[in-house]
Amino acid sequence: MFDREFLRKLEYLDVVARKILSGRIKADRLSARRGTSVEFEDYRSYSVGDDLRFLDWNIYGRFEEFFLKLYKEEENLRLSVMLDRSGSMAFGQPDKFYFARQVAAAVAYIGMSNLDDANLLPFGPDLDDGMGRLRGKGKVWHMFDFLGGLEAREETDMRRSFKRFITKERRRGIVVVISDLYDREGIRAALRYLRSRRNEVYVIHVMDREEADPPLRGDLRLVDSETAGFKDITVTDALRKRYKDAFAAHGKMVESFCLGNDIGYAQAFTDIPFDALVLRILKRGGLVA
Amino acid sequence: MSFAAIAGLWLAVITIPIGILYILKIKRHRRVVPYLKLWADLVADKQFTTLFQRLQRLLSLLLQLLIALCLVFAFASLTLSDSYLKEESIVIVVDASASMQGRATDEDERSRFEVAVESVRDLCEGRSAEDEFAIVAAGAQPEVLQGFTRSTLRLREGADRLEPSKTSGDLSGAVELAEDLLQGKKNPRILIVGDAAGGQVAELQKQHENLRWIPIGETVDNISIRRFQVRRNFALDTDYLLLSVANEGEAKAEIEIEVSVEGRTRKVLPMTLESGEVRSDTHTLTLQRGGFAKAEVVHPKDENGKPGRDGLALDDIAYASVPTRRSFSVLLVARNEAEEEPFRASMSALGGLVNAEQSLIKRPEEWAQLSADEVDAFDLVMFVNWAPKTLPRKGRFLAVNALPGGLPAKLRGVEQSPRIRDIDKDHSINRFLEAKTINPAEARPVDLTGGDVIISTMGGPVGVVFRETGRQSVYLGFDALSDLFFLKVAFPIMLRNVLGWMHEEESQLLEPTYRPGEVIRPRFTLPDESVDVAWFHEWVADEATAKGTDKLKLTDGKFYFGDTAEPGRYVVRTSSGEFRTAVNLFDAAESDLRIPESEDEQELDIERSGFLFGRDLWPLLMLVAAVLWLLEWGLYHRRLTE
Repeated sequence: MFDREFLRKLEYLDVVARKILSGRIKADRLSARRGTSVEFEDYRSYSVGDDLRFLDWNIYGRFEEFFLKLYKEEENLRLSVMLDRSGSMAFGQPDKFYFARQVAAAVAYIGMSNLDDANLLPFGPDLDDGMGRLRGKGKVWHMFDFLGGLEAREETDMRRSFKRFITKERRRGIVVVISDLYDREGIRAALRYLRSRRNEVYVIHVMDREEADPPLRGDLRLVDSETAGFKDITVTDALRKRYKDAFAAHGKMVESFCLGNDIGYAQAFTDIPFDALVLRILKRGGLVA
Repeated sequence: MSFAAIAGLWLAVITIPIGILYILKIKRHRRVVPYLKLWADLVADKQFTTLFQRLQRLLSLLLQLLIALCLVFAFASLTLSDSYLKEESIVIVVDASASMQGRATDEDERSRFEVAVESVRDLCEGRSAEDEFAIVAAGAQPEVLQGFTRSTLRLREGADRLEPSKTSGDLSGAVELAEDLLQGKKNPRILIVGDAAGGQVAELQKQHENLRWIPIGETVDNISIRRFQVRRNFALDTDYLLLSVANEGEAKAEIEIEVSVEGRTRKVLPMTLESGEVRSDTHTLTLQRGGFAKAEVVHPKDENGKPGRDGLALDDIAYASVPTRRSFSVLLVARNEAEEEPFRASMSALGGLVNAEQSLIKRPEEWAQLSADEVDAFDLVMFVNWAPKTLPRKGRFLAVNALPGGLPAKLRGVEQSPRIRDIDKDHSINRFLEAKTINPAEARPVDLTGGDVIISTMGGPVGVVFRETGRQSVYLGFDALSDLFFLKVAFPIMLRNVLGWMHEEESQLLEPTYRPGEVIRPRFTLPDESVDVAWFHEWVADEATAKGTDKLKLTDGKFYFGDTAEPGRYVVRTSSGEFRTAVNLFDAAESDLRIPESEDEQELDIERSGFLFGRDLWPLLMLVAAVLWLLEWGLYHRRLTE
């Protein structure tokens, strides 16, 4: 899966990503925490014990009040790639999980080389330990090994997984969720969790053509890929059409929710090459804007 | 409930594969889907009660079994019965005679036969399921078109087999046949569907209590030619045209009869006929050549200028054969002039029949000098009061009051004042003769070892014909000269008859006219192996355009030609010449299109069934099967039968 050809594509993506990102963020980002950088952010009244070096003497001259100048603190950007490894991701040919891992690797690679550090966090019924503090390209083979060792199985519980992520990762950062967004409990609450830390959240909705337009017909026992639950259904042309409409509506619902909650969203069919997808996302600017 | 085709029930075995296929069908294939909830939500709105869900699962199977059941019943020709009705066995006798070719009513252009067939169909369609029907056609030969059945389909097929005919119908024969069919049946009935031409039904109803009549059509005026014949008048050297026309209608009719010979109009006879009037006239024509004469009723044109017509066209045309003229050479052998003269006068009275130039009178002594060939060259050699001791082996001879030697007969003696005791009316020599009025002074009866007696007195045979190989002889054993009435009136006719009998190939091989359907057979044996028959229904200038031809093989010198259903002209060609005859309706009963008053005024009390009862339900069952199939297909595709 992660061979030299794959790495060559990643290098290409990296070069392209640098060109795209250079005009926007200059390799690092401002933290929300106030600190000692040169960029002014705000004023506040002086309190005993404050560093006198930050007093604004010009204001004192005019108003005879002590005001402290506040500056933004610069800090390293944390990119968290959250990879859905539930059983439903094993669907498709090639399966969605294969595609999702390629996308995850590409996003993490760009983050590792252009930003400060990246986390790879698989999730299923709960958040896995994942692979953190990936800095520099030197760890790329470790990342490949890690991703190659993952399996798509078990159920999805995004709410639980994301809640644990929020609890664990207190720093603000970019969170990229790569998932098919199938969760019986719904995805809204889960994504809100991610937004609660003012993270910049980006959702890559992985889909397979066959699940959008399933080649099913007749009397079938449909088995859920995660729970093994089943339902006997006679799939007719009319029902297939209704399913396709429902599937499209599901996508629309996710997209409109994301847009409404300042969450980046991209649909990714598995028949699109992963590098083309990443480039499209980068060019659109949603991921690292 | 009954099945006309019980074997169709075997089709019920198709329910077994249906059940198996259904079970196979409900063993669903497993398909893994990434997110079942999406599918489940789609069908969540189809939640039914538990009972209905159970039924729902079985609905498809039930529908399929119903379809199979419908097909099985359809193939088995299911008929529902309404057992509360009385079971009857009914034979429908359909009049298929010539009169049924007549118009149903003055306004209805359809023939009575068409109306009758419709009526039969109505009877079959509306009958009670318990009733069994049979159909008999009353044509020239009664025929069972459909035996007893409860299947409307079979009865409909039987009605479809009904065909009109131009022959006289044998209604009483058909009723007898119906009675035979009804032997041993419960509640037997006979229904006659027809116009009861000739009022036969009233007679039949007296004989058969269970007979009912369904009148077809209304009284329609009709003019018919009842007789048409051409006969040669040998005495006047002309032809008699015998024509009999009847007004079968209820109103006075003014018509013309157009007589044509071989396509050329020779006479137009205007006629005014009162209702019921039958006019028989003899018209004189001189027809030098033989052929066919045709008489046709011409009706006055109607107010629109169109040719008029009557109820039945079939009897408006008649054909008659015109014999070809021929004269015969006769050798008269008489002892003296006194005996010779009356016979010569008789022969002269025959006009052109006897060729005076080729005929001779000889004395007995001259007779001995004639060679056998010279004798055979004459068409007739007549001996008067004298006969040779030995007749030549070849020739045609008429011996009057003297028995020639060499015949298988012996004189019995002389009978004084003989009385004619018996006469063979069927023999052609006796045609038109009333021999009992002959009163000769004496007779010479004979004892026979051969020959056929045609006239006999108390003393024995006095008229005998002998047909031997190469020789035909007639012996008249009485003194013709003693009865002037016989000599002047009857003898010329007899002489003509003798000539006709001796030269049968020149006389009528066939009867002058036959009825439609009657078998044409020769009146005497022919030496041929086969003969050709051609028939012409309408006049055509080109004889080659015959309506039909046939080659008939002869058995013992006879042939039988029965394809005479169509009136028209018929020609039989033999090695010795062409013989003509005609087929004409000439049936007063068939021409009478008046519908007699029915004495049976009761409503026709055939019990009729409801819509579904007593009918062939297979079309309906097939339709139901198709609707059920569509329903099952629709439900299946609407996912209701999952």
